[in-house]
Amino acid sequence: MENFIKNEMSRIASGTQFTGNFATRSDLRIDGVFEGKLYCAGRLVIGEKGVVKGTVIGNVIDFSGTMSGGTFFVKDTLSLKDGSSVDGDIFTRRLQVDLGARFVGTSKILDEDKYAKAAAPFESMLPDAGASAPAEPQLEAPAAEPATPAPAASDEEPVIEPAPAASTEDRSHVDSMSESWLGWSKKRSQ
Amino acid sequence: MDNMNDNDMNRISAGTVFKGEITSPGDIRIDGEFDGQLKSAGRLMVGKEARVKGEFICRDIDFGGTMENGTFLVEDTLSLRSGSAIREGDLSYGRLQVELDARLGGTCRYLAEGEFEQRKESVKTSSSKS
Repeated sequence: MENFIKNEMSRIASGTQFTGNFATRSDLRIDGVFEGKLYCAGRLVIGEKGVVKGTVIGNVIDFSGTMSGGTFFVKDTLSLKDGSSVDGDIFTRRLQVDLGARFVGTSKILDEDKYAKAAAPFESMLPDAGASAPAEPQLEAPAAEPATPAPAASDEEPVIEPAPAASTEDRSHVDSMSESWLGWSKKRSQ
Repeated sequence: MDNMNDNDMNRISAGTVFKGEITSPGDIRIDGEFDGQLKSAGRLMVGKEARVKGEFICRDIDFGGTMENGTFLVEDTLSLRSGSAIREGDLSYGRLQVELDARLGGTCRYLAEGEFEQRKESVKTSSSKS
């Protein structure tokens, strides 16, 4: 269960309908209705009330819900739990079907390289596909100078210097935030 | 079945190669090679070393070996044990269980009401009356 603590987990709760493309590197739990393309590079859990329709690409999938038409591409293990129902095609390295699970469709065992070929078209869905993890966003103001100078800001008080811009994104909303902080710190010192 | 003795189990042991048809009211255990058609009113057990292909019509199948290609028509439960492999199978069953590390390649479907009886009859064997 380490992953549960280390990684964040996205959720589509029961009563929710999601239509579209969903890609995540973390774990994902679905208890609602999902229709579209799903790429989960972490652990994917579909709860008993979860309904999935479309293409699901994953690493490890615990499936307890319903798939009404679709395809699974699974890098490691797909487990169809008791009570689940799958009507679709399964391409996986390892498969487990509990006695109470319902499976109708085709199945094929994939080795690592065959999986890589099958998942290749979907790789671009993942955030920062191929790039390293993005740097932490900077909250300090970039190039813009604070409107109120802080002459009273002496050594007793910490002063937030405007940090150099981490990126060239539009950070106009951040300017006003740090401005007001500096204004507050100036007031405090008076 | 009337008066079926539980000790009546047919066996094709390891090292044996069988080609043809088998029909039995009792259980069948295969540990060797089987190519043909098998009809059992009971349970078929396929051991780890067994290699089979052809048509298999049984009440239950407990499968642990390798199937090159063929058809499983199972009235009740089809169990694929860990280590078994089905390369290209056409599976129809009442209930399915696939253990982890069983390799399953093929098409799976549930039997409709009465479908087992209907398909069983339509399979012609040399022993059936025309």
